[in-house]
This record gives sequence, C-alpha cells and structure tokens, in this order.
Amino acid sequence: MSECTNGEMRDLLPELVSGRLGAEMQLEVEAHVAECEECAEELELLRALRPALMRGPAIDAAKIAAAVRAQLLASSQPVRGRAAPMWSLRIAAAAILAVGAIGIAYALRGRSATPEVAVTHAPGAQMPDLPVPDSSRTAPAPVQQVAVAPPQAASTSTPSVPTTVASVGALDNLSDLSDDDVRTLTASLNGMSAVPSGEPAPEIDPLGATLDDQSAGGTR
Amino acid sequence: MTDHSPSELAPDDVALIARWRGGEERAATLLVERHAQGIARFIASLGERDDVEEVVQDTFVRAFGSLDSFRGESTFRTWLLTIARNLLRDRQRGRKRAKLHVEIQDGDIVSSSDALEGTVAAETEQRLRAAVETLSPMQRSIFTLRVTEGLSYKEIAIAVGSTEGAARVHYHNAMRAIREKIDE
Repeated sequence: MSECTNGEMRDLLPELVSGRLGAEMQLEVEAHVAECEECAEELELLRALRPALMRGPAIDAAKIAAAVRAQLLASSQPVRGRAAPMWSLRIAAAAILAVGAIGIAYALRGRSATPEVAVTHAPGAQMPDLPVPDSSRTAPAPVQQVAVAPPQAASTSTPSVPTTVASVGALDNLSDLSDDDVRTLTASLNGMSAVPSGEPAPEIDPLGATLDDQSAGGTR
Repeated sequence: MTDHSPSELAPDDVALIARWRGGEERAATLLVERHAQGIARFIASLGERDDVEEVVQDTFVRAFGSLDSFRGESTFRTWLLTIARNLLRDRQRGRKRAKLHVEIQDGDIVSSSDALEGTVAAETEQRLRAAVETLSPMQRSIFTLRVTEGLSYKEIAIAVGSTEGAARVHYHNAMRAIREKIDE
C-alpha cells in the first residue's frame, strides 16, 4: 500500500466523515482519497468507526433540558433581563453608602448629645445607662418613637418630671438618640431593600461558579 | 485549513444564545437538545459510566448560569465540552478513587449491541468499539471528538485542556493503535 504524501488532506478525513467540510473542500479531499490508497483505507475505517462511536450512552435530552430550566429557575437565575443594568447597581451602592454615612453621623452626634439630654429632661433623676425598652411604662412608645423617659421608680418619686419622647420620624431631635438607638435605627435602615423593586436583582451564579475567561467550568 | 471560525460553523448557536439572552426560554432547550448527546459521548469517552446524564445536566446548568463569561472566542460546543471535562474531573476527584473509570465493563459492549447481536455488523462494531476501548482516556476522548464531532485540533485542544500539537499526535497514535488492534 502506498503511503500518503499529503498530510493536510489526510488530516481532513475526520471532517469529511463528520460532514464538517464545505462543499469545495469536500470535493478536494474526495479527489485526493480517490488517488491515495492509504487515505482510502483510513476513510473506510473511519466510516466504520463513526457509527460505533456515535452510539454513545443513552440520555434523554428533553428531560435534561427540562431539568436544566428548573434548576435555573430554582436558583433565582433571572431568565429575562439577565444582566442587571449598571445604573441600578450604582443606585443600590449609593443608597447603601448614604445609609451608612447617615448612621455613622448620627451615632457620633448622639454620643456627644446624650449627657445633655439627661441634664435637660431629667434633673435629679437617674438616667439609665442604656435605654432598654421597658414594657411597664405607662405610655408605650410607638414604633417610630424612642422613649427616653427615666425608669418607673424615678418617675414615681418625681411625678412632675415630664416624659420626653423624641420623634424619629420627623428627623428632628435626632441628636437626642443614644448610641444604641442609632444602632437600632441604622440596622433597620440597612435591612431595607436598596434595589428598586422593579429592577432585577444583581445576577447570582446559581452554582457559585467563577469562570476564568473561556475555560469555564470547575476548578482547573 | 482545519481551523474554522466559530461563527462560520455554529451561527445557529450564536443566534440561539442571543435569543435566550433576550428571554426566549425555548432557545435554551434547543441548545441542550442539540449538544447533549455530543457532550454525553465525550463524557463517556473519558471513562465515565455511571453519571453521564447528571454530568451533562450539570454542564448545561453551569453553562447557562455563566453565559455572560462566554465571549464567543471558541464555539459554544467547545465551551460546553470544557465545562463538562472540568465537572467530570471534579467529580472523579471527589470520588477519591485512585483509578478513574477507564476500563470498560465487560457487559457494556454486549448490552449496547444486543439489538444487532448475531449479525456481521454487530460483530464488526463490537470489534471496533473494543479497539477504541483499548485507547488511553486522552486518546479515546480526542479520537471521539475528532471522528464524531469533527472538531479541529484547535477545538479539541481547548476542550481537553491540551495543545493543538498534542491533540494531533494523540489522534494519530489512536488511529495507529486501533488499526493494530483490528489487524490482530
């Protein structure tokens, strides 16, 4: 059997078998095969091997497709509008920073103002170190109000001392808040959604995969 | 000459990806149905026997979950093969087995050819498959990708994490080994 002297043509035999060649190239390779005994034999072997190799493991592609779709939905991967717009991310980041800055600012102000509150509103009364909510108070504090009244015992001994309530909702007298009040308020603000509800959430990789360039997949 | 532009070879994949990105869920299904069998063959050629379907599924889940990182520098199919290989490798590492599932089990060849058993075609196919199974996992996977998918050496190199030259050598060594086995 004569050996093939055209390695380029011989290299294309698998493409010929799998039908990946363009029409022009296919004719060229077939013309070479017609004159090359070695390539003709190899082509025959490849044509015999391909059906055997194609008979791979039995899988249900439709079932896999359904499972893939279910997994993507379950992992909150947004199918539509997949990439969150940059401007929405910027708004979210700005909102978080603003909340944090406000919290810090009021925390600092509140720290310096606390002694002033004690002197002004509770002369002669013992101000608690911490404004722990007291359920026994006669006037329960609304959700958006922070009571800074003295403890019950002090009130009883000095009934003329008014109970002072700082309104948080109106954003006035915020300097009256103690550190813990500010922390509570900041935590509740931080807990609020910073992303507009109408915007898609930032994209999350459902499997936590980080892919380097085009070589995606597991750990390399 | 064998290096084809991805856009030339798989324009439909590119279009389907764009449609899926635009919110058409059916496009994902079409992509899965188009490539699942090829991925399964590749996984099997690497020696996996038990969890082929699961690895195929995981491959697509990871691919669609990371589609933003696909820049179209390789074909979508090559990218899927790369993901499948990495997932399989992680899975095999997880099993902590010193030896991977490279040997074909005795019953596999016979069971897959039951329908044709007794015929000359079945015997021939069984002999050919047996010859392929004597290859190393690397040789077998490269040979399978070359013959069944018609991938170029460049694409194969990306898929199996090797070089174009090494893929070419593995293919030709595989062909030689199969010939020798058949001629025995």
